[in-house]
Amino acid sequence: MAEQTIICIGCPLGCHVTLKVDKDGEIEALTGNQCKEGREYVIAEFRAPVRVFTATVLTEAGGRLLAVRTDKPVHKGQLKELMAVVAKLRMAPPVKAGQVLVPNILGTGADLVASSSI
Amino acid sequence: MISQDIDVAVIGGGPAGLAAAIKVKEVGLDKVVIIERGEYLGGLLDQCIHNGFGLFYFNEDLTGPEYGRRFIEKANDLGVESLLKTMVVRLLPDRKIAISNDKGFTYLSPKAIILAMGCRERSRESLSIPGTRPAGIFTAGTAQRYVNIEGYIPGREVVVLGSGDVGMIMARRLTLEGVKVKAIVEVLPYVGGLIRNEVQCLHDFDIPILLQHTVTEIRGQERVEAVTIAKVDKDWNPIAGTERMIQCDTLLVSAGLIPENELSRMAGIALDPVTQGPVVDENMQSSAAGIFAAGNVVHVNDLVDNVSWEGEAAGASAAKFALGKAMVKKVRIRLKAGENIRYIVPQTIARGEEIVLSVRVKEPAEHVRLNVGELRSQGMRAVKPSEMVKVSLSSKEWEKMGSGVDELLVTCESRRG
Amino acid sequence: MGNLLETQVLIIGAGTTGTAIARELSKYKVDTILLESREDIGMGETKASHGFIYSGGLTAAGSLVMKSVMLPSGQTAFNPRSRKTQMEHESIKEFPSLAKEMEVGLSHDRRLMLARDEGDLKMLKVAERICGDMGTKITWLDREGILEREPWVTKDVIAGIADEGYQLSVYPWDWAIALAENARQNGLRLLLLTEVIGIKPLGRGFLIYTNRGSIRTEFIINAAGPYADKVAKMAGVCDFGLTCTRSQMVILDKRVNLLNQSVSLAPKPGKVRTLRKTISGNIQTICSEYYPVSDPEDTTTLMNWTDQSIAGAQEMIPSISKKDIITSYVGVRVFNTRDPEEDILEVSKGNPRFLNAAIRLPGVSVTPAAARHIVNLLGIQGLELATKTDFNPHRKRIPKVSELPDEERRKLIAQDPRYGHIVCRCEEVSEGEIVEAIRRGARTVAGVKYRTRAGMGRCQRGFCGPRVLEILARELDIPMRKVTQMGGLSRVLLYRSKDLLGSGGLT
Repeated sequence: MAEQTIICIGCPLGCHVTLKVDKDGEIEALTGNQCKEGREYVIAEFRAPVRVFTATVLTEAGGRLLAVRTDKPVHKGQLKELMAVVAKLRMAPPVKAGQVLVPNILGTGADLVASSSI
Repeated sequence: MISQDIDVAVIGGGPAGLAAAIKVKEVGLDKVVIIERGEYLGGLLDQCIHNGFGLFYFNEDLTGPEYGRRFIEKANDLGVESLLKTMVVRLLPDRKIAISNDKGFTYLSPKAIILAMGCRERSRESLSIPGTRPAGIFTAGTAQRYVNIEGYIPGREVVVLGSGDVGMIMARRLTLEGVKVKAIVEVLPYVGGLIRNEVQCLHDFDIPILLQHTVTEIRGQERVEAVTIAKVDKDWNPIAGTERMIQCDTLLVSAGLIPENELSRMAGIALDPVTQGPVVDENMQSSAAGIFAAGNVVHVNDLVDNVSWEGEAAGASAAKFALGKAMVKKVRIRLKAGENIRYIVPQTIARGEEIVLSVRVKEPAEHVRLNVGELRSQGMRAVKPSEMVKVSLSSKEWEKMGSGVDELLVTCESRRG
Repeated sequence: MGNLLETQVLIIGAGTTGTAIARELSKYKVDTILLESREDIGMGETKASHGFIYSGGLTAAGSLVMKSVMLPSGQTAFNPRSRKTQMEHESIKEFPSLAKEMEVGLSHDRRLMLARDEGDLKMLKVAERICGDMGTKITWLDREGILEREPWVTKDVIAGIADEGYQLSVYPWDWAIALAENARQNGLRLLLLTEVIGIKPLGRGFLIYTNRGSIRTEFIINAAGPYADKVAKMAGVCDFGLTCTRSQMVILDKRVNLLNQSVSLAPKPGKVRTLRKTISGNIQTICSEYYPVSDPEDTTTLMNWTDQSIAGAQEMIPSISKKDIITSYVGVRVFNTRDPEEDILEVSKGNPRFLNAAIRLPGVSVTPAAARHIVNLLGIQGLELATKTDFNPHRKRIPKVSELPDEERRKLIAQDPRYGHIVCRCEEVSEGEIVEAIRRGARTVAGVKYRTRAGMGRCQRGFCGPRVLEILARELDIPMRKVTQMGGLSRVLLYRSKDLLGSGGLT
């Protein structure tokens, strides 16, 4: 059985919530939260810690950068991989904000979309 | 150039200015001009490519550019005029302003003015950090511009001084761009910005946080080569013997924002020494009639959503003023900062007015009550200086106020039991 | 630069001394090269020097103690009849017209020396005697009189003395840049980034080896500041040594309006405390201790010097606070060990064609007379000095839009719209000024800063930084990443976005 601490980001308390996790990866016990929203957040964060990925993409030599984002949060472990993909992208204008640049990027289920326009 | 019969001039085209200008148009005024010194509208939003904007205003999780675009498109649709690459260089009595751009140097006399100039960052020099003065020292916001707008990475080994939100956001951003962020150095015993950023920018990327530390020396003749850090005591004084060097080629300084009120000073507008912004009333009007203010120029906000709401309040009031509608004279109540309160905005309100106060505490505390005189007591689980608190006063609450009282003491006290 | 250049006079060092001599020489039909090892003019001692121009007893009296503080320990020489003091007297009268000719900012200042106790009062009386000796007119002021001139001065003050008309102020880098521009207008050749690495005396002159090629010259003027001894050694004629001290100055926000002109506390051994209003309207503190330093490039600021600066300032104006600081910097002052009282302005004993011009502080103060003296010496040594009939003494400054009357400002913008685009908000500097600065030789952020003041304001390049970089890159036609802060290895931006992400992704 293992222990893991997750910090709840729901309110300025920032409770450090301790999870006791069994060998199958299931939560056995959860302590340290001060509200039920916090409990729900920590459980969700434990099961699938997700983040919205944002970055910039290079356009043609010297041109203005394009800001990009995933339209949905993705697993936080994939951020660096996503960055490696984005690093190789080169976009040429015109690109409209909201335009899908890479659908279902790296199989995450999220699209990489333009967050600004060029 | 621009026509002279301007109803409302908005100085600054960032989120505060945009929201204000839109509101003025919505109220029905025709000649609204945004005067923006930069190359585009949106202020800092374009360089804030991360998400977390609009959670409250739009109930959506938007990036800075996305949030900005909502307002820019609306402003364009409504016919708000804007002058880009135009600097207001003088703000004179009687609401006369002097502007300079490549078309010339002109005076304008709008019927009302909204100050929305935002903030500047505290520089290394103003912090008197000892050492050499090499290349490679940037304030976090300026570095953000280079990284996200111009597309340059300042260096490959970075130390960040200050754990405010901008510093943390940049720590993450740089790490994703392949930079080694060696440490966040924070003089307080706790992280300065939002917990969400502490987790998602620092913990997620294993960036060391050195609390109760500061940079005591910068080294490197032409380019930063290292910084010396030391532990500090409760008075922020470095403790001898705790110094150690961290090799780096870049120092990011994220040590605070200062509302940019040079124009306000020029016009003799009263400033609050704590917020460093204009003293405003519930209409966001400053001490000068017809000059309103909103956003970071009034006080440093955490959330852009609040900046937009302030902009709207200022816009609505400025429009009223420009239309010649008299501001009803009401009894003025001063808001006074009591226990564990740093400041309250607006600083004065009209008695009986339904209002939402923006309050900032001095120290973090848990299980507190936020009190506004005898009118309102709001229980809160936790408060932090970096997270502004909103307290509303309704007309029912005002009924509790005695007569002859012209001041409301706002306090943040521990709950008993 | 080609393989071998030839000239009649080679001036080594483009600080306030070298540029003054260059300008003086440019009045004659003499082929002259001004050599500077750094990226720009005045980037050595000059840029951190005070720019006080003074003569007269009160300053001599004040500097009596200043010198005891600044000189190598044990030396407290003071000679009101020194040649240096005479040169100060001679030169001060020339500055107003020189400033006008070359359109350089000059302010009229006056020294007000304060006493807070009996000890101070005694020092003021000493100063009064020295002034009498030198014929300097001074006025005694009581507390009321002092507070009338400077309402924010400490109420502890019991008396003060002031002289009128014996002190002026310039920005030394401004001065050096203007002199060099004017000299170039009149034929001077300027070589930057050129360092002397060897000197070979020839029959009638020298062969100079530099990092970029060789120069044959008939005469050398050694104005190399803290490296003057090294240069003299290269020519085999060094008969003096140099020592350096350094101290820290602090600049307060322009908005801190607590001082009208300069004030000093009565000199006390080991302590210098002066507050000065600069030409741009900032208060500058000259209150930290002086420390000997072996490396003239060591300009690190220190925490306790910052504290000393504020503490010293508060002794004169109590309302000054550390929060008012917008920047600090350290200046290095060079003295010669042969005679700390005098400048070394002479034909070297070892070689009649090698002249030394090693001037200690006050530097700018003596340069008009010193430059003439050097040119005289050149004449005596055989250089033919035929006066140019077409010497143009007028140099036009870069227009400063923030100081122009509205109509002129409009005209300028109509001619060149870039003068309407304000880039530095804090100092109200336009793109036009920055472009003109680059046209006149600025190649770095510092070069733009010293010529236009862009970046000298309270936000310290927070807003204008990226824009100045962009303009430099555009005007010099170089990539943004090649732009440097102050030359050499001081590139501002090291990488392009995504450069640090190899094909393998993040490390």
